[in-house]
Amino acid sequence: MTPVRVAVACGGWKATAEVRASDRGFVVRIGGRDLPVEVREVRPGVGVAQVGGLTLQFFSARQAEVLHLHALGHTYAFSQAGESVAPREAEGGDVRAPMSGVVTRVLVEPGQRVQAGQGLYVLEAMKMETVVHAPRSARVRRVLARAGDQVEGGASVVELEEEP
Amino acid sequence: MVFAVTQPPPFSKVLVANRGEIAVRVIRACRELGVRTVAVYSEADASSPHVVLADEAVCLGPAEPAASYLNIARLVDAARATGAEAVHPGYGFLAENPEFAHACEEAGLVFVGPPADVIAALGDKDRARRLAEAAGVPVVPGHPAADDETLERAAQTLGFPVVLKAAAGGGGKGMRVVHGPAGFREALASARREVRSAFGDDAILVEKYLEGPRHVEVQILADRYGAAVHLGERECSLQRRHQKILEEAPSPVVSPQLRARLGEAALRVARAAGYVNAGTVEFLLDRDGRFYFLEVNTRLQVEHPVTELVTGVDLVHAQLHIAAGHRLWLRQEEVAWRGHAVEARVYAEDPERGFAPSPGRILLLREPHLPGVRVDSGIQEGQDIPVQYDPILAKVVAWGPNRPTALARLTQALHEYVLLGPKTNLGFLRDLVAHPAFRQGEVSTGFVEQHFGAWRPAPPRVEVAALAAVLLAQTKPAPAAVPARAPDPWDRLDGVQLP
Repeated sequence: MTPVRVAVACGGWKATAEVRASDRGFVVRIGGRDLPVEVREVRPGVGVAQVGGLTLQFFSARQAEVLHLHALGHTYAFSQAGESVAPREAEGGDVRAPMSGVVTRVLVEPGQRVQAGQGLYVLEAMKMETVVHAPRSARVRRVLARAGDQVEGGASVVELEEEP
Repeated sequence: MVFAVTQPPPFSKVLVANRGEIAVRVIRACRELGVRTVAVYSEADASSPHVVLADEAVCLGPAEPAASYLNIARLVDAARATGAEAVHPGYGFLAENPEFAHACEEAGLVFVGPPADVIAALGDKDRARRLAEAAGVPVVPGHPAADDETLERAAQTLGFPVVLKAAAGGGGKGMRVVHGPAGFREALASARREVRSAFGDDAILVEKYLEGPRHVEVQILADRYGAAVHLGERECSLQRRHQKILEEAPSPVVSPQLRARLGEAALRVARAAGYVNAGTVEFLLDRDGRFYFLEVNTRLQVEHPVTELVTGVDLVHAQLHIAAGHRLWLRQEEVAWRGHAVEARVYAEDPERGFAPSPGRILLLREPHLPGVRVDSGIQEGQDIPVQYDPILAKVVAWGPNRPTALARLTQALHEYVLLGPKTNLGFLRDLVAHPAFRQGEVSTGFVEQHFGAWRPAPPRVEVAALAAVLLAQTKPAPAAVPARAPDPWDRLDGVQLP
């Protein structure tokens, strides 16, 4: 097979890996090293891997672009770098929900001018209330949720536009 | 032992008016005593472990707490319809709501907790403070619940920083530390909203905020015939967002003499209030060993297992027997403490993003089993963690003959706790337990902000990253879950297979 390049990301950490098949499994070139990797799955998501002389039990689950992996006592959410996993806040003109929850109050109306730091809406999840603030001074273009709406983390709730 | 399981069951059937790990804990305790159980659940919890474990289960209604776990009429109806004799409220929800206790009493049901009027007296923090003062127990300077203007003036008089608190209910809900006059009104408005949605009452009081104190609380048990004992203290200083995350018993700084004084103060408050059943008297403890009464939690605490592990007393058994009118078997001089216990609360939250809640599906779960470790859990694989409720998933509690052994066991248990799907605080908890200051027992309520304000998990070892690369290259995400996007890199992965 031809080697496959995988850009591995986890939190703020990133590395490029090259995965090649070998007679025993795989060889992964990462961080300037060639690591032989053998994977034996006991049942889907549960297995034992030999990685460059280290034997480790692992648990894994795939959820869309995210690979959840527990190994050596730590849990990681890996993804291919470049794929957005965590919702980005205040990207472009959208002020997105920082987490999944219920919009309990909308504090602004379309057309309204808001100051940087002003509360735009109130989100409640798991009994915690969070006020989502305007990232900069702007005008409200659209409000995409009403009080009582459940929204996913990363969903656009308020759209801002530059003041004319 | 306070009560023996060989005694006749305290009740024939008990309805457990809660969900999650505490419902599981109480149902198990009932079963141990030969008591049949009724679980209640919302539509979001239909296949939760507590529902499966109970003998019977009643659906209360939609996921919103007001329509389900806070719906007094539905709960009382469910208890009557199933022939339950008693109702155990767990913690949170209606556990400290005197109207619920009263509604149970009116319906001829035994409420497993203090009488409604005692809950009302102690649940009103202003009244509780006055009661403690009258009993000769020192209190933190503050001002009772009032309107916005009065509270603002009181804050000026007390001097900033001050802390806002719900006058009814605990659990850190509505709690806000305000450092100056500028943010006072906004903090107050936000606190009132949060408290209204949690307890249905938006009364807020203000207290002087003590810097760097310890949060120490005393467990008490009282029967209805006037007998009362204290079971020593729990150290609950490690908190995030004013909610406890790591608790231990005994406190590393409480001497036997101080324990006796704290216990005596707690029992003075309990006697003055006419307290019955299990309760917790909370104190702030300063560096000089001075303590101030904070409040009484008129219910079972989340962190009750640490007391159980060091005293050998099953607090839920005791609650049920006391509620059934049995006498307390234990005298104060018979209470003995052995070893050390530490509890870590596992939350569905993201420590990297301000502990934001992280609901979602549990894709894989393997909880630890090892010597000296108890896991009180309310979750199972495949379960969706709803957004409507508290993010607590489980409690990992370790016992050891001494503190270092208990901490070593807790560390190992957290290491072996596998939960994939929602983000959890497991890695954060381990780093907390490993911190040298915590190891020394040097904690205060500001510890997390002080030492872990910008916490990030350690990057993965290169071996783990290499394994991740193989697994990422090997498995395609389920097509339905992949958002539409331009050139699919997976197209280039033909032929990559595991052996």
